[in-house]
Amino acid sequence: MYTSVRLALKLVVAVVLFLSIVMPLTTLFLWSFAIKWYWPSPIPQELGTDYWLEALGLRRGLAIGAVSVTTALRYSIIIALITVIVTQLISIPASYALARYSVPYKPLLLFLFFMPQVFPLQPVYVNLMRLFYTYDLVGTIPGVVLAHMMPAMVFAIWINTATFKAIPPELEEAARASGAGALTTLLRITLPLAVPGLLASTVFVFLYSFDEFTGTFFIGLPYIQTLPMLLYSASGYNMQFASASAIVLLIISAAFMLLLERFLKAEYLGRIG
Amino acid sequence: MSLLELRRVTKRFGKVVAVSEVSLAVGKGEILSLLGPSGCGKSTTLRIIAGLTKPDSGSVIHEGRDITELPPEKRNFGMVFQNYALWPHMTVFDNVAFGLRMRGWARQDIARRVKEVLELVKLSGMESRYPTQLSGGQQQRVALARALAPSPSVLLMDEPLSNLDAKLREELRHELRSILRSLRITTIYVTHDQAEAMALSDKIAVMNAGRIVQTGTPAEIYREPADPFVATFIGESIAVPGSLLSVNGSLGLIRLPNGVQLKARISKASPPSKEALLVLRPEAVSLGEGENSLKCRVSRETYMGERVEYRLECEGVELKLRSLDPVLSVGEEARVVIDPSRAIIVGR
Ligand SMILES: Nc1ncnc2c1ncn2[C@@H]1O[C@H](COP(=O)(O)OP(=O)(O)O)[C@@H](O)[C@H]1O
Ligand SMILES: [Mg+2]
Repeated sequence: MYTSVRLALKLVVAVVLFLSIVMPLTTLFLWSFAIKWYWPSPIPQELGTDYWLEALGLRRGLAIGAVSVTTALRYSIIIALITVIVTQLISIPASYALARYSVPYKPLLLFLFFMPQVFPLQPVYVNLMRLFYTYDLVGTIPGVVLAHMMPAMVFAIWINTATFKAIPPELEEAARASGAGALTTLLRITLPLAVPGLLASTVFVFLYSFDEFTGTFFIGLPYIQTLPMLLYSASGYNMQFASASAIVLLIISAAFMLLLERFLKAEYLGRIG
Repeated sequence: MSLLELRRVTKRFGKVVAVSEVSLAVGKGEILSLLGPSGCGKSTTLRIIAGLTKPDSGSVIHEGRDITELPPEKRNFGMVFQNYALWPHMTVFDNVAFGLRMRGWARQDIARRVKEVLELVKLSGMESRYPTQLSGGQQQRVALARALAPSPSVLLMDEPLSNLDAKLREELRHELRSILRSLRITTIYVTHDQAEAMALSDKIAVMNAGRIVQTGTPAEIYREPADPFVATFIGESIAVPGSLLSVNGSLGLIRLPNGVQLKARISKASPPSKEALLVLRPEAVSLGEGENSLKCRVSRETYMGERVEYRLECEGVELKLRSLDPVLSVGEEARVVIDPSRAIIVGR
């Protein structure tokens, strides 16, 4: 009796997982290899690598609305990397200060900081776009990076501050008392202990920028075509290109997630074990 | 000449005066305890000595040199924290070697010295463990080894034993004592535990509300308290206010609020004044009749194993009486004698 209930539950979970993850992924995968797939056939009538080769720029595009996944991917990666670097260069020192020192008007600063997150982001970006026009930032990589940094900075400071707060100040003081200067203490004690948290925020910001759509749409168009933009524009008329872009996006995101998970586990196990 | 001195050091945190006009001097090889209740400014004083906290005024003098502005890493002091503060990402070896590396020691010398101090704290063979793989007592031993490794000029310890359970604390206290004695290292030891301070130190500085109220040997602090705070904070004291009627040599006659007059020794550290306090510790009270005695009724009996403790109601004064055997029962009447050489009078 009891076991049959369990079995039924397991079955339900399996079906839900199948419908929500395996099915869409399979469809996506099939679509990217489909040359012909007309309704109502459950599988494509003709399979081939034509669209993939074109999308990856390995063959000249003949299909209407051919897109270059590689170009978009390059834009995406460059923008994500710059966003990560600039965001962390600012947020790591700021977070350290927030975690260690009493900053005057801290609650007010945090409130102002979180304000944009309260509103829907579209109107924020529309206003940002008007502002950026005056500085010739629309349609440029710096413009898109700035648009990505706005929300990314909030997450980065949040995670990094928590990371530094979790490191007891006595660990730094013990180093100072042992003869290490402030810089040595930072490099030998604080930063090594903060690595898991800083890595988490780095991957988080990278993925955020990598997957970002709205900000890029308002600020980046028409010149900056990132992978999510490509996915959006292709999905309107070419399912194959859209699927291929989606798969590339997915693979890279998943790879980063796995990397993060493995690194964090190793780091924490090393400490607790 | 003293090795380390504080001169009128004051530190405020906002409106809180954590340390107020504190002056003290520690001689070379001396073990000085800062003893006082929680929040009285012990840690802040120690951190000022370490250079981790900047005083608002006053100065820190080391070997005759003003080091008030010197950063902690240039002071060559060792520090042991209450919560061990070991670096979790380093092995025991690397924790202990850190200070030596900072001082630019050669590889072989570091290896030899780490081995030596780990032997001293009885942790040989633990070199490659991580702090989280050690018990609390072992972690504090590593912390001690880390502080001692570079042979610091002064060892600073902030309640190093208070995170350990009672039995381990006592064991480590004895060990710590023999290590400190054998090294003859100048030590400033912060604690709120008077037994610890008594057992470990050459000198005790009793702190209250940011000030040092008395400095002296453990015996002086116990036997000659300077004021009502020290008298009641140290020992299991019961204090009764009264007025000093007359002084005869080292003895004084004090009248309690109930009219009873008792003879007691006047503390050498506290100049006699009319407004006085009679300090009665259990060792001053014994069963008996005659001069300097009080009529009592037993209000409570506590069996403690090696002794019995009675709470007595004596003509309006509450006293504690200790006895090796159960001799009284609750409600019984008895007379107790106050030993004039063990009862202490301090001014208030
Ligand atoms: N960093 C600080 N910020 C604000 N107040 C502090 C700080 N450090 C200590 N204090 C205050 O100073 C007083 C003395 O603290 P402390 O030196 O830690 O006492 P103890 O070590 O004797 O318990 C306390 O009232 C404490 O709250
Ligand atoms: Mg303290």
